[in-house]
Order: sequence, then C-alpha cells, then structure tokens
Amino acid sequence: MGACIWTKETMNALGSENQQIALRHVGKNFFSDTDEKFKKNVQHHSEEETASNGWLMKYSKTLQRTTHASLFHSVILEVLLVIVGIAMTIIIWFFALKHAEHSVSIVSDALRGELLSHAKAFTTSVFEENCESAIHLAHLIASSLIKDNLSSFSTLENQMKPALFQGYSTIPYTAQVFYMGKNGLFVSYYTDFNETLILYANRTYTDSSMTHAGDPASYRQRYLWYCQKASATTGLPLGEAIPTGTFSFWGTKWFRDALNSKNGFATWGLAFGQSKELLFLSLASIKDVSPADPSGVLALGTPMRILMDFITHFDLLGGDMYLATIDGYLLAQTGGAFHVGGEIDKPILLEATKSGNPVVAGAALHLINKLKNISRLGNETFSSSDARIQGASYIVDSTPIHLAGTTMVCVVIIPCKSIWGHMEKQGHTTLILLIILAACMLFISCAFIFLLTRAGNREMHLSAALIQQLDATKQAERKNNQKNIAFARMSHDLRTSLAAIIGLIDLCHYDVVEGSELEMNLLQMNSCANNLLGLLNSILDVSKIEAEKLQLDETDFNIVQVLEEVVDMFSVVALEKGVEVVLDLCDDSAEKISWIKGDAGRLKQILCNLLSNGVKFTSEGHVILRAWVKQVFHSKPSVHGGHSAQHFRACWSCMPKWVFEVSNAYKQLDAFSEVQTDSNYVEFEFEVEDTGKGIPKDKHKSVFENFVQIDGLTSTNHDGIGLGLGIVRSLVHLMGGNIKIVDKGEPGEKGTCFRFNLFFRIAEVSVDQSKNGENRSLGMHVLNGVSLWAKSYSCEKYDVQDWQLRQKSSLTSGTSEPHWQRPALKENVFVVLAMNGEASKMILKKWLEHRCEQVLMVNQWLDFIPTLENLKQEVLVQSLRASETSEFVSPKSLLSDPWVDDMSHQGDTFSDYGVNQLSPDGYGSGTEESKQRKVNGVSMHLLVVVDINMIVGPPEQISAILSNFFGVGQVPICKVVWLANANTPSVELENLKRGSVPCDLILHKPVHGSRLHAVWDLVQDLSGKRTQQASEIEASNVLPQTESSDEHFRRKSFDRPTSSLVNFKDQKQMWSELTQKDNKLRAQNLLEGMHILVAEDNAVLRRLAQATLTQLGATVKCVDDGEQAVQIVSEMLHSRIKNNKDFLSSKQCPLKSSDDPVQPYVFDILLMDCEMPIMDGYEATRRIREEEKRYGFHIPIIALTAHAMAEEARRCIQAGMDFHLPKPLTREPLLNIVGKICAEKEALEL
Amino acid sequence: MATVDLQQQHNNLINFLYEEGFLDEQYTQLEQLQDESSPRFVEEVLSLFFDDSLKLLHNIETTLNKEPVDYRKLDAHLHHFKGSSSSVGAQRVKNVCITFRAFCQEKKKNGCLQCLQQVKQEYYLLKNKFEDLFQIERQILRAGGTIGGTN
Repeated sequence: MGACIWTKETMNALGSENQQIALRHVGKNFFSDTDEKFKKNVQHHSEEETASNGWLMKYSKTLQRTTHASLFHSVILEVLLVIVGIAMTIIIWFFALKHAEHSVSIVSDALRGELLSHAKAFTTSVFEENCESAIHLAHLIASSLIKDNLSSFSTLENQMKPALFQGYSTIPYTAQVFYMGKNGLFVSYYTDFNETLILYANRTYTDSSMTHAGDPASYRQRYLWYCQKASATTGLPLGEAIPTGTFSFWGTKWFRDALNSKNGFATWGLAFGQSKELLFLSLASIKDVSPADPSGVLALGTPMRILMDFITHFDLLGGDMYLATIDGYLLAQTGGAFHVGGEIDKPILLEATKSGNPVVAGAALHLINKLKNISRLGNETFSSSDARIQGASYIVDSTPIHLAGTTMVCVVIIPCKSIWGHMEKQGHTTLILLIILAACMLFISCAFIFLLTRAGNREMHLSAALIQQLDATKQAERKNNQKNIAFARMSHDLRTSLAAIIGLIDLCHYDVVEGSELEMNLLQMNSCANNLLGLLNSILDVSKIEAEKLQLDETDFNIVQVLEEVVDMFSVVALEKGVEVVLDLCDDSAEKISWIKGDAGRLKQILCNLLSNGVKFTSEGHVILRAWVKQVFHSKPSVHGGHSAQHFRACWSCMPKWVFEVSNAYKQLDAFSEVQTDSNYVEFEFEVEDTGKGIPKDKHKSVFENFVQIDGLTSTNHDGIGLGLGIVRSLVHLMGGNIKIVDKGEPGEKGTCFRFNLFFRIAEVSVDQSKNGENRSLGMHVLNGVSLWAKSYSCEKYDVQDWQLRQKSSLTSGTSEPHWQRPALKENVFVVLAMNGEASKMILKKWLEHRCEQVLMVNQWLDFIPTLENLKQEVLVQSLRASETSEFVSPKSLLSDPWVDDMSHQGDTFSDYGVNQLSPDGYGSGTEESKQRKVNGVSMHLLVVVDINMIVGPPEQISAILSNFFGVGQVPICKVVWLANANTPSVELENLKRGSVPCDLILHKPVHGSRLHAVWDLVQDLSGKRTQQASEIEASNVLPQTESSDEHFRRKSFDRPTSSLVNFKDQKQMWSELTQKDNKLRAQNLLEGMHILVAEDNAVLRRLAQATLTQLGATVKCVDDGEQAVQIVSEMLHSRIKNNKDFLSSKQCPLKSSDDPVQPYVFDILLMDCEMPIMDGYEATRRIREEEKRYGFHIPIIALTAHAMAEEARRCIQAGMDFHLPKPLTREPLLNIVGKICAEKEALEL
Repeated sequence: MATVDLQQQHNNLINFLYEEGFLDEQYTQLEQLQDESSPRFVEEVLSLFFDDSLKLLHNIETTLNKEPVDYRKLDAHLHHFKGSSSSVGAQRVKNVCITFRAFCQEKKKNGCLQCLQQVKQEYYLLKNKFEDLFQIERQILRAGGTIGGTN
C-alpha cells in the first residue's frame, strides 16, 4: 500500500516538476515568485507532517512498551501460579504423609505394646503360676503329705517321690521337679528326650550326725547319685538305677536364698540330662518342721523353650523378639541358634549381643549404646525407633518383666519397613507422581507462556505495523490533499500571469510589422502560451476534481449544437491528417431532446479530450462521435446502470398518459409539461470511436488514471501528460455517468471505442424562446423534449398504443435500428451520394436512407455516371411496370397541381408529371424520344450530393452528365448539393456560387446536424411537400444560424428571389447547349492518332471495343489475353528505349512520338479486361507496371469490369490500373477518362 | 418502292425486337457504331456473337452433363456468355444468363438445366430473327438502299 502511495506521490511530484519546468521556460520572471510560494507551501506542509509523524512514533512506542509490560506481568503471574500450585501439592502431600505416619506409628506403638504385653502376660502367667505352684506344692509337702522326717531317705523314697511326681505330671509347663534337702538329699523327676527320668541321691552315704555336725562337703560326698528311668504314668522307677555324677546344690547361693525366702524364689538353671535345656526354676522352701528352719527346697523347672515357642508364634511383622536378663544375657529369642552351656546351677548364658540372630544382637548392642545404665530397662519400658541394624531401620521396644525376684527384659524388634515401608513406598510413588505432574505443569505452563508471549509479540508487531501504516496513509492523504489544495489556490495566480502574457503578446502583435520574423515569433509564442494554458487548465482540473472543489455550472443548452461545434472543431484539425471526424446522431433521438440543462462547458471538455485523443492516435480512417438518448426518467436516477428495468416500467406506465392527456387537453399542456419536466431526466449515451492503433485490453482500466499513458514511447511521440482521460473519467463521474472502453463489433477491427453515459435534466424551454422565431425556424426539431413528443405524435395522429409499440421496439432493438421518430419516407426521391470518406459517407447514407427511397453510393468519380445509369435503368423498369397497370394522368391536372401531395398517392404512378408541360418548347423529338418516354414513366426526384474533392476535372461537367442523364426536360427535379472541405479553395466555392454549375446548396464537411436539415429541406423541396413559402422561411432562418457558426454553408438557390420555374428554364437552356457541344465533340474524332491496345478475351466485346474506338479515330490493336498484352507492351518498350537516345538528342517529346509513324510508338491507352483466361487483367497490369518501371514510363491502363462495384474498382486500382470502366464499353465514360488522361499529360508536359 | 417496303419491314422487325425485349439500347449503340467505314458492322458483330455463343452453349452443356458438375467453370462460361450478350444488347439472353448464373452460384443443377434450355431457346429465337433481319438488310443493300438512316 505504501509503495502505491509513494508512486502516486512521485507521479504527482513529477507532474508538478514538469509543470514548473514548462513555466520557467515561458516566463522565468513571471513565475519565480509563484514557484517560491509553491515551494514554501510544500515545505510548510512537509514540516507539519514530520511533526505529526514524530508524535505518532512516540505514541506507537508507548503502546509497544505498555504491551510489553502487560505481557511480562502475565508471564510472572503465570509462573507464580505454577509455583504455588506445585508447593501446595507438595505440602498437602507432606502433611498427608505425616498424618499417615503418625497414625501408623500410633497403630504400631499399640501393636508393639500389645506384643510386649502379650509376651509379658504369657511369661508372667507361665512363670508366676509355676512359682505359685512351687510354693503350694512346698506347703502341701510340708503340711500334709510328708509326715515323716524329711531327712530320711526312705521318707523321700516313699512319700516325697509320689508327691513330686504328682506335681511333675499335673503342673503345666513343668519339665523338671526336684527336691533338694538341706541334708543333701535329692529327688527329681525330669524329662529328657521324652523319657521321664528319676534322679536321686541314695542314702548310702547318709550320715545324720555328719550332716548335722558338719562340713557340708563331707556330707555330700556320702551320697550316691542315681539316675533311673521312670514310668510316665505312675512315676515308679523302671529299670536299673544308673549312678551318675553329683550335683552339689547346697552350696549355691540361690539354694540358700530359696531356703531363706518366704514366698519362694526363682532363678535360672539348666535342665538335667542330655538336653541341657535352659529352665526357669521356681523354688520354694519346705518348712515342715518349723517355718524358721526349712528342711529343703522344692523346685519346679519350666523350660524356656516354651516361651521361645510362644514368642516364635507371634506375628512380629518380619521383626524379632528376645528375652534377656537385666544383665543382658539372652534367655529366649526368635530365630537363630540358641545355645546355653554350663551346669544346672550355674548356666552359662549367652550375651544378647552375641546372639546368633544378627537382628537380636544388633538390637542388644543398640540398647547398650543407647542407654548409659542398662539396668534402667528393669524399671521402665523403653522404645527406640532409630535403630539401624544391618543397614535397615528397626524399632526397638523393651519392657521389664518382674517374676519372683527376678527381672527379665522383653525386647521386640520390628523393622520400620514392615510398618512404614508400604506407606513410604506409596508416599514415594505419590511424590514421584507429583513431581512428574509438577514437571508436566511446569512444561505446559512454560509452553503456554511461550505461546502467549509469541502471540502477544506478533500482535504487538502487527498493531505497531498497522499504526505505522495508518500513519503513512494519513500522511499521504494529507499530503495529497494539501498539494491539491495548493494547486487549486495557485490556479488563480498562474492563470492571471498567463493571461497577462497572452495579452502582452497580442499587444505586441498589433505593433509589429506584418510578415516580419518578429511576427512569426509572436504567433508562435501566442500558440505556445495557449498550449500552456490548456495544459495548465487540465492539471488544475485534475487537482480541482481531486480536491472535490469542482462545481458543475448548470445552464440550458442545445446538446446537438454542442456536439456539432466540437466535431467541427476537430474536423479541421483532422483534415490535415487525412482523418475524418464525423458526428453520428444515430436515430436522431438526441435531436428530439436537444434542449437540456447541464454543464455544457464540461461536456465539451469531455468530448474534446476524447476526440483529440482519437485524432491524435489515428493516422488514417475516421473518428466518429455518436450520441443518442438511452432513456428518459421521471426522477433523478439514484444509481446509474443496472436498474433500468424499474425506470422503464415507470416510463411505460406514465408516458402514454401524458400523451393522451396532452392530445386531449391541449390547453393544459404548458402547465402539465412544466410539472413534468420539473423532474425529468434524460440519459444520453455517447460513443467516440476511432480507427487508430487502439488500446491493448489489459490497459483498458489504467488509461483512465491520471498521468498514465499507454506506453512510455507514446509520451515522447505525442505531447500531453496523460491527464486527459483521467479528467474525462472524473468529469463523467461527476455528471453521474460512467465511461468505459467497449469492444468494437468485429474483433479484428482497429481502434478504440469509448462509451459513456451522462444524465441531464430536460430543460424547460422558456415561453419566450418557444415563441420567438428561432424556435419556429428550427421547426419540429428543437422543442422542449416531452411536449415536443406530445405535439409531434398528436399531430401525426398516432394512437397511444401504436406509440408505445414504437417506443418498445426502438428500445429493444437498440441503436442499430432506429425508429425513434422516423420521418416520413420520401418516395421517389433518389439520392446519388458521391463523396470521399468512408465513415461520413456511411452515416450520411444511413441518414438519407431513412428518408429517401434509395441512396446510391459512388465511391469514385468514375462510378458516377454508371451509377446514374443504373438508377435510370431501375427507374425505367419501375416505370414500365407501372405503365402496365395504370394509365396516363392527364397533363392538365398535373399542371394545375404541380406540388401534388405524394403521400396521398402512395402506390399510384406518377407517370409523366410536370416537366414536359412546364417546358414550353417541348423537348421530345428525335433520338431522345424513346428515352424520355421511359424516364417519364415514373416521377423521379434526384438529389445529387457531390464532394467537390472527388470530382475529377472541372465541376462544370456535372451539368453535362446530368443533362445527358435526364434528357433536357427532367432537369428541374434534380437538386445538386456540393460538399466542400475547409481547405477547399475559395475560388471554387465562388465558382459554384456564381452559378456556372448546377448548385442548390454548398455544405462544408463534416455534414451533420443543421447541415443535414438543410439537405432535408432540399429533399422535401424535391418531393414537393413543402411550399415555396416554407422553404423561404427556412432559408432565411438557416442562414443566420449557419453564418454565425463560421459560415459553413450557404444556400445558393435561396439567394435568388426567382421561383423554381425560372430556375428550370435557365438550367435547361444551359444543358441543351452542353448537349449540342457534346454532339459536336462526338462528330470530331476525339481519339485521332491515339494508339490503343485492347486486351479482351470475349470476341464480341473485343470487336465492339475495336469498333467503338476506331470510330473515335484511334488506332486499335486487340489481343486475346493478358499475357499477349504484356508481351506486346514489353516488346514495344524495349524497342522504344533503343531509340530513346535519338529522342533525347533531338529533344523531341516522347509523347508526340505516336504521331510520327516512323518512330516505334507506345500505346497511349491500354484497355484491360479483368477476367481473362491464361492471365487475367490484374496480373497483366502488375507485370506491365513492373516492366514500365525499368524504363521509367507509365501507360494509362483502363480496367474493364463486368461488376460495377466499388470493391472491384478498388481491386483494379490496387493492381495498378489507373481507371476503371464498366462493361460494355460505351463512349461517354471512355471519353471522360481519355479527357482526364490528356489533361494529365498536358500537365506533365508543362 | 421495294426498298421502302423492305426498309419498313426492317424497321418493324427491329421495333418488334425492342418491344419484345429481345434487344435493348446497347443494340442501339451498336448500330451507332456502324458507319460508312464498316457498313456491315452489326452483322459482323452479331455473327461473331452467334458463333461464339454456339461454342459457349456447347461448352456449357458438356460441363453440365459431366458429373460432378464443375460450377466454377460453368460460372466462367456464363460470365462470358453474359458479357457477350449484354454487349450486343441481347437483353433476353442476358436476363436468362443472369438467372442461370444465380442457379449456378447456388449449385442447383435442376435450375441450371432448365435455364440451359431456356437460354438455348432464346438464343435460337434471336438467331432466327436476326437471320431474317440480315436477309432483309442484304436485300435492301442489294436494292441500293441504306440501313442506318431509319434508326
């Protein structure tokens, strides 16, 4: 976008620069101040712009910054949110874990307590019961069972043994029961490897005195110890008593303690026998005699194995448990080997620290390390959860067990893993999951932030760019506007200065000597200044339009007049280039609504621009300006194009009504039309077509832009700065229309066709205007649009429906077949149109064809006579046909009513009216009789339109031709219109005016508009519809109008006050003279001495030609085909060249050589048939021309064609032939041509 | 007196030919070309015409009877024929030729054949008439009268 703007600005700048350069060139001093002003202005504007630009930049930076900050904040917020989320999760996790740990530890504490208490309870129950049992058994033995003195062996044998066996077998968990007497007696039952055994000390060595007296050592040794198996059921000894070692229990401390204790005593011991089991011994003194002196001690041994088994069955969750003495000696444990050594009375206990179970050993060590005073364990429970044994954490709990004076410590070791392990594992899993989650969150948030940032960044950049662009656009617009305004402001100064220059030049011009160099310079200066003014105006227009300051100046004007003026203007310019500029009003619809309200100046400007372009780019051909009314609206059309259907309907529904009303109530017309015209709009469509090089299709749009030219080259070849079409488009848009380039009908056709439409208000022609003479002079052609229609149609008595139909058909069929308001066809008016310029001819023909019966075209002067002949023939045929059906009208009736209304006699024959009777001497004898009879068969009105540039030879010959054509009597019903160019010599015009030539009207080309009306009047004159009076009025009115518009034409016939009758007489006399002259000419041998070669394949024609030419005095040679002709000519030229030197030396003119029979002659004329076998005329001509070139000679060749068509004629000319005659060969045209040839020759000779 | 009668007869015949449309003004032109230097000009030209036309008719017939018909050739012949007939003022022959050519250009064989018959008929009719006419003329000349004067 920026680039575009830039380019445009540069273009503008370039334009202004151009302009400045041009201005300086013309008048440096004049414009220096203006220049400065302009520069200052521009500088000022640019300063302003830079200031505003800076502010905007700042603004955009601030905006950027704030955007940055807000983005940063959002990112931080995001990060915080993520962190908080993660922390919260971890904290929650932590607390949850702690809480779980706490609960688990509570549960585990309870569990451990339970375990300990369970162990304690069991231990207590087992061992305490045994203690109790021991005491009770001791009491029992002491009180009742044993009556005798216990010191005797027999007593023991008989009484103690059963009692002991009873105790042994009844008391649970008892593996050993024994009695130890003070005197050294000993009885015991015990279990060894599932055998019940009795161990006792025999009396043999027993000596009471000794026992008393003394030394316990000696005492003891006297007993023999035996071991004997016993029955498990009765306790009676079985088998042999096996002597065994003694067990000196009496000296042990625990024996004495037990003896002295009152409530029993407990101690550790080992089982007898092989098993050497660790036993818990419950001791009780037997006080049979006196409580103070117990006789012995009863002991019950409970194996620690029981306890071990018990604790082993505990579910310790993978942990271990042990029982130890307070000193740290192991009593029982789970798992691992357990060995006890030593004697029964003095078991050697294993230290817990050295246990086979590493866990137990570890725990014991931990306890020792943990507690300074290990004996504390005997008093209180202890718990330690931080024991590390073999690399694993354990919880160690201990509790004291007090049993009959002994204290045991029960220790439970449970691995932390088994309690918290699961939970920890879960916790870890959770933690890992959480961490993963957090990581994910972090990643996502990071990604989110990244995306957010990026999007934000992009948005930021975009908005920044947008701001910049907006800024740039605004700036550019402002710049442009300011420049435009500056231009508009400058317009006054510039124009004033220029006007001054022009005025000064004019002033100088008066003083200067005519014809001097200074005058020339001044003239050039003047034209330069005018050019500059035009250029300046167009630039100013552009800037005005762009600054939207252009106002349309609405006035009433006649559109046809404007169109004519424009076309006239350019036709002069184009004439120099050889290009036709033609106005084509198509269906004459524009003439019907010619008075419109609008800006005539601007319309002219549009048309001028387009036409000047057309003329500029067209090197040959024509430029046509077409105009027609497209549609009529009731109200101002809001949108142009594409919506016409509605308006059409509106038109149809309303317009007939007006007509109806108007025709019925004519008086109301004025008021009515005033109301109606108040809101009546008309859409005109214009077309400017040229045959130039055209505009390539892809440029169709761009050409309308300012400063655009089709290509770079044209700008150097043609002047102008490429503003024309831009202005045109702007103006057309301003006037509510649209312009475009339309395709030409045929694809291969060269040139461009601009089409545009404009909307105008239909002007209310004021009453004064309609009443004054001018309006009448314009007849029906210039009238207020709608009322005109109404009037014209009501006059012509069309009913509404018919009218509607006509309208419809005209609109549907478009412009190609105009019926807008077809004028009444003039029957029997024949037009022979001989003029140069294809386009204008076609248009004139079209126009005439709508009004006259037949229009014959003459493309070349040579065709003129044959065309007339054709016409004659045709009319003749008609007349013959007519004469078959009708009878002659009496001459008298015709005489009485010469201007008979032919409309009322449609289809009737007009036989011979008028002329014959008008001429008193009655030409009608001799050879003319038959012809005249035939021509008189039908009334024929002939209008001859002759281009003065087309006619070959003196214009006077036309009278001869016409007289020859009609016979003398028919002259008056022929009118001759001469067409003159702007550059036609005034001498010729004078000639025409003087009346030496039949002339009714002289028109200047281009023929259009009001000039056509003049022709139309002539036509009406011819057909006799108009009265003489009317034509006179017409004449007087047409003249001032046309004279005012540069004296384009004059009507000669009306300059004479005489009636047409007089004219007829004059002309007839003149023509009869001419005929006589013709006869004289004929009598002479015109072609005397001429050598003519006739190439014709048709024997008859050949003979005929020969005869004709011979009769005229020529020497004729005939050949059968083209080849022969070529041969003869080339031979002749060859032989002639041989002798050429002689001619030159004798300075004889080569053209007179034909008179000298001695000299080889060259044919003066070749008559060449076009269609011949072997070699046709075209080819032969080409060959001859080639041949001639070598000798620098030119023989006139006349083509003979059977087709009297213009096409054929053109082909002949192209082939190199000079003239062209239709077959069969007749004398007059031949003579004409020969005359021309002679004239040329003479001119050459001169 | 005989010459006068003969001349009368001659004029009548000529007038008849004009009125019946056999001849047109071209013939008049032809007559004008006849003067002292070439007293038998009209006859000469017309005999040329009749000979030429006979050949042409023959050509036309052969062209038409050959399959496929070469219309271009036919057209060329007809053009020739038309040219000659119009140059002598044989109006009716010329008119038929025009029709004939129209058929030829449309390539309608039936029409062509029809026209051929017609043109032949016209040709022989004219030829007969002229043979009579020339007979009379010869008689007039033999009797010492002139021909051109009555035109």
